[in-house]
Amino acid sequence: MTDVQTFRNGRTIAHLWTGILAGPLAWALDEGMSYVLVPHACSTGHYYVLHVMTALCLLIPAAAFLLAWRMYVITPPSSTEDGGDAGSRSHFMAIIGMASSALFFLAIIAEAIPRFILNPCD
Amino acid sequence: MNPVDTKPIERSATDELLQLAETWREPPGFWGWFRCVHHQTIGKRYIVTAFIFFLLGGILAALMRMQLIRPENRFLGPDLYNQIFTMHGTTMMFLFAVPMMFEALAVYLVPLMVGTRNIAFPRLNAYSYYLYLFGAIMVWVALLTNTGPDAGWFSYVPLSGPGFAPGKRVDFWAQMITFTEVSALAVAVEIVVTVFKLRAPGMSLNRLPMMVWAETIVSFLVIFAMPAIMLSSSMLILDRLVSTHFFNPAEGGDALLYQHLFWFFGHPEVYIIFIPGLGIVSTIVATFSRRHIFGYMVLVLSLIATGFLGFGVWVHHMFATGIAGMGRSFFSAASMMISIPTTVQIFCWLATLWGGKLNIKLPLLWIFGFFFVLVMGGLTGVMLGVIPVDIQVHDTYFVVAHFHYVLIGGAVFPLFGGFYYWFPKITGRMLNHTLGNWHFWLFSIGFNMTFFPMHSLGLKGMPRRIYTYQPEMGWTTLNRIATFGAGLMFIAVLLFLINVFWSRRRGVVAGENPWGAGTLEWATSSPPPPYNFVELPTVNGREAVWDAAPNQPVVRGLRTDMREVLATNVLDADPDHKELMPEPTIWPFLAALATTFLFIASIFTPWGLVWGLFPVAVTMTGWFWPKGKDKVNQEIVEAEDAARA
Repeated sequence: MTDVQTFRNGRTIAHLWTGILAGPLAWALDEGMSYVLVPHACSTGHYYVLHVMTALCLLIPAAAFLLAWRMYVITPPSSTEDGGDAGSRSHFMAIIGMASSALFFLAIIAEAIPRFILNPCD
Repeated sequence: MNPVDTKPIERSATDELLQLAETWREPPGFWGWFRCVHHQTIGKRYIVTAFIFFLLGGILAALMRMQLIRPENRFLGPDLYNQIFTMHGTTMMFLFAVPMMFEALAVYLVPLMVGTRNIAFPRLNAYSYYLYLFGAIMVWVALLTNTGPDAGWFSYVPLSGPGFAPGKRVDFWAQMITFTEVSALAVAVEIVVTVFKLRAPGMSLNRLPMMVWAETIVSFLVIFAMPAIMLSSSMLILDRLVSTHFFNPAEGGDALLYQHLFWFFGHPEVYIIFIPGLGIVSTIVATFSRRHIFGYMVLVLSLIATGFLGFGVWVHHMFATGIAGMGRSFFSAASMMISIPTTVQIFCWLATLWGGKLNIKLPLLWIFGFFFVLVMGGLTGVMLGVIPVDIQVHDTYFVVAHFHYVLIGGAVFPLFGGFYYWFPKITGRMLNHTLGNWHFWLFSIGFNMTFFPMHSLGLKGMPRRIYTYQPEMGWTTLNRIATFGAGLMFIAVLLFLINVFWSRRRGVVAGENPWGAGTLEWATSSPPPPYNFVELPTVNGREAVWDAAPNQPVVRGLRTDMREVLATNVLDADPDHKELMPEPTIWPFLAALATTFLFIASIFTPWGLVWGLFPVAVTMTGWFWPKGKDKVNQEIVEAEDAARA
């Protein structure tokens, strides 16, 4: 349990936003970079770079999930889903952060599946 | 810092109210019309203008349907048909859907919903409206003078390049993009600042109304997506006017780059149109179920996820361009994933309806229509996300059917629901129920008659954009059904217009909150006064009206003799400081005129850009130069602050 004032300081707020935004940004990075790397993988035969890209990008939402979860556990027990205080708002942001990280973790996996089935030169 | 006392008070004294009304009153008279900067006035102008372009786009659609009613018809020639289908798409996407779903609704509703007196940057708001209006008039004048764009609403190169599209037709299209995108970007900035800095105290991030969430997310989509189309249309016009070769493969350019840039904007644009519709649905479903929305957090997450995923699917518009198989598969996966958050939202709305006490009125009827039509469009969307299916039906009427189900289902059905819902707020009178019922049923039946047969036409191989076909193709009956359906839609919209004009004067008086709704726009009179709220409200829950305490505090301490609003902090909406809003002025109108001169002149000569900058610089300087009542107000406030210090 943490003082409500904690949820107004810049560091905590940065953690909460990281929880919400890091997952989708990692997914965007994975999709964009993988799309660019396909011709490179085909021409060099280094197919593993596509898998390395996915693995690295998966680390980001995983870390963001942990960060959001850490924020979630320190919100005051009095926090409610629609409360007007900073604790309740942080509780809301932490849950959205965990859900967003989990969702985009799965999105990255979904886009990783074709790499095991298709050939970059197809 | 908390400069604002939030104690319950009695209603303000009459003289204070009169002063408040005088302070926020829009300037009267002919010239006053050009000086208005209040969000209600500009919002209503956006609504009316965008609806006029909806009617014009609809007339073009009716002309196309009349042409296709029978094979080898000579009602329209191929050249005119090209202009008409291009202008139909352009009008509906750039002049109706985005301005209506985003700019119009956000500008009118968001300040009321967050409990403030005006939108942030009100002069920019007026400027954005005039730019949109002038850009729209420009491209329609071009059409009426037989110089209408004719290369499709996305103007692909090389068809739209200098080699295949000589003349000025495509230049007008490209410059119309510049007008409307500058306008949308300006509104996006205003909405982001309004939502993050001008919310009523107590409206923390977890209490934002769903409609406000939707318009905020759309604002970010606009900010990140619109630059791509401005870039591509600017590069296109440079290729055409000053012989650059951005898209000319013969000189080292890349034609496919245009498609990438266009669709990096184009697909998020679908969500720019669609997400406000989702906000309308959440609002109406909660009101007419008479309960808080089920799964608020999940709905917010779904909107955020849709906003992000919308940026990762653009290549599905390019599956037929020969992109590598694995590259396409990433976007195929994303295209299927994006149906998940929408599906989740549909379940949340059904759960809200299931557990609520239903009050089935016209707005909810349109939402029921939305469920049916959108699910149909969503299912064909998943089909099109599958690469082999997409390649098979690419550029056929199957695609036309799909995107009309999605866009009319996802935007126009909720929009009509929204019209019936907010018309009493805007005008103070209810729309007629009987005419409204006829409107709904004729439109729904007409819509399905028009677009359902197009799935079949597409599967039978009828390509998009053809101006006629041979009788032996076997497409006649389905085309005839589609044209009759379009006729029904036309009659339905006509009934709606009659209803609006009749109810505007003779409709039942609505009262403050005729639906018993919970969001803040219903906490003031209908229509709202020019200052929006007598005292700025505070918020005690997600549905501010429903959750208000018996003696809910109000904000005190704002001046009534100046256009002052309360600025709050970003996350928790705690009172932060008082902010002066600018007074009405003609400078945004003049600046928009100067910008219009610059944009149009540069179509005819590159020197237009140079000469056009001078009037823009003069009008912008006039706009920002401290003077008149704004300067006096600022000096008074600064002197008072100094005295207090």
